[in-house]
Amino acid sequence: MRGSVTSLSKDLIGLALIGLFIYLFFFIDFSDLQKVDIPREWLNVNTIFLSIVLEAIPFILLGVFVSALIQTFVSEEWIQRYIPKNAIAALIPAALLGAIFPICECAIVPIVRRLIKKGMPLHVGVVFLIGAPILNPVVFASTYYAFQANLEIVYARMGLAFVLSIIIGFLLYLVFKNRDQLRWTKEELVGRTREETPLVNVNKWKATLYHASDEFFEMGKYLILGAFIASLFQTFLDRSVLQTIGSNEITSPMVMMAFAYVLSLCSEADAFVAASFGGTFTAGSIIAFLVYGPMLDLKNTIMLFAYFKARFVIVFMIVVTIVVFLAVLLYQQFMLF
Amino acid sequence: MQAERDYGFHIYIRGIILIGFTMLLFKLIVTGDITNFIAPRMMPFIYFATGTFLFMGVVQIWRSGSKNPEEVYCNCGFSHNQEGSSLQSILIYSIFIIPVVTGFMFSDTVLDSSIIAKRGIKYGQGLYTKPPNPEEARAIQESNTSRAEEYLNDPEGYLDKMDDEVEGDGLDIPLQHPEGFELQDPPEGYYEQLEQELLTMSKIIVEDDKYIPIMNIIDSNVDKFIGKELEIVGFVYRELDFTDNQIVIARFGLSCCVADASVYGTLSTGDMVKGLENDQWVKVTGVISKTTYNDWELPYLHIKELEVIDQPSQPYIYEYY
Repeated sequence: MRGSVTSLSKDLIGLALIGLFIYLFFFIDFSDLQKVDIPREWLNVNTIFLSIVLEAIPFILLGVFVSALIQTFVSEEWIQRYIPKNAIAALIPAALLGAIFPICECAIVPIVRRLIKKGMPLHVGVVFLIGAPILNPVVFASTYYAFQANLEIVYARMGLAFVLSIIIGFLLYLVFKNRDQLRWTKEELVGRTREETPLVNVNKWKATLYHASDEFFEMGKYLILGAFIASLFQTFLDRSVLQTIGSNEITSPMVMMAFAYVLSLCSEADAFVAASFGGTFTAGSIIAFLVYGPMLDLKNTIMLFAYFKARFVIVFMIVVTIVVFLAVLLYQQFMLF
Repeated sequence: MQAERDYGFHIYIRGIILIGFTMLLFKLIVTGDITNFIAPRMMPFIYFATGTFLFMGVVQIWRSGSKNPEEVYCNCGFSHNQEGSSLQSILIYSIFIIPVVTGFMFSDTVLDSSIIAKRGIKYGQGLYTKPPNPEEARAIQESNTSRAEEYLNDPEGYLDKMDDEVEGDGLDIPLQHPEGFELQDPPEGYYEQLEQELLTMSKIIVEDDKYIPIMNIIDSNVDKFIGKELEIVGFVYRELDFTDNQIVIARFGLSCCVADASVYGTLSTGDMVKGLENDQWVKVTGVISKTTYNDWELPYLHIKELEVIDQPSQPYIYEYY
């Protein structure tokens, strides 16, 4: 009896949701709502929030589809065969691989997680995680357009991303070796042993689609939360404050890194934002912004915490932050005149 | 059995949410409001997302009705079970439903000047009230046409200009400068060609699709454009210490999405701007002159005609490269 009551209420929930969407689709008109007095700032928050979500969604979808394809079609043996046995030797091919795939920082998290689950060594995954969003053709093109008058920044961004992703991968290898740093639930652990006997009834393409939509809902909630927090910073953070605290060679890279972190821009668009700071910040701090932002940002962090053990994420963040910061200081010291 | 039904229900709800996203994207595309969030050059990705959502949504709903449990679970070594209370599920699904709802409700809101006060200040007082430190000075030189070069090309003109600048320094205005060394030319020679074209015109009408290149050219070669007429559309913005007859005619420029919007503004003056308030849209015609502040030369528009207009259907300007 109870079962039938709940299933009835469930049908109602579903119908109500459909009804809501149809109502919004056909009847809602913004001009009716203008009578409602909502502070402009909050409308701005909403606009920026939606724009981050809408912009990230296609890339998240690409990411979950690639991840689902890997899940369905790439076997553990394949990964083990093609990744060099020597942990150090595996770092460079990983960075090169990152350079080929045009994957931005939203899409990379599900892909790396999937690869690690499939047996890719953790530190190789890390190289991929931080290298791929910068070292890719699309990001190179957008950075190039934004900094055509100052190509040094373009090359510094790409070069540092390549070298630093390898260094960071190496450091994390020293800390964690190959210990498992993913979060596994009890069901997954059962699932892991069960994977020996794959279900035959579901065809592979359907399975891919199912994985993709399940993973979209897994990732999506973190993306949306992250986008919301980032939109608050975008609206309420007074950017002139950055300048007053970040005017010398040491503090300004730090400030720009923090700024890149909270803005959570897509790595394909951040060069244009960075360029608008050109007159205000040192070249070194612009490079810090461009290198650090795609490696680590607010919406990314939330996703990382959901999928990796907290201790790993914290160590990862500390290592990335320190390495990028030191590298920028060194770069400023020796390369910029 | 109950667990399976529960899971089927989750899939069903997710399918509906995916359809909701599809409807939102579809409506935004049809009404054109999508350009309030995303730059046109990102549109192929949006079409991709819309199609994918529709497809996924339909498949999910169909999957939820399947009697075959193996259809529902896919055994991929990751948790499909929704642990946690129904309250938790409601919260999680709300996270997805909220953007759909606010998207439908506020699809045509446009950023307004309250944002400039937070992010635009970097072009205004923040930069100019401090003496530039060495790095800044370097960046400035990189962005402007080299002054040394200018001197070599036209020594007398340059010296005259220096004199003008000294006079100009008396103007104590916080300046709105739209870009540092931002956004350069993509197709080979595009800027040069456009510059030649602009130089032959006596009146330049700044169209939306060329807004950024035109303003960049005028900014970096102010001298060549002095005396020309300029027609431009934008909204009014005033810095705190503007006089009554000074405004900035501003636009938000997008490269990918609204989150990376930056402000492009033309400093203008004229008696008829006195009553105007921030965010009012205007179409002005004026004569270009020049003003200088801390080594930056900026176009300064003396307004001849001003017309208050409705917000244009495309309030933002876009980066096409």
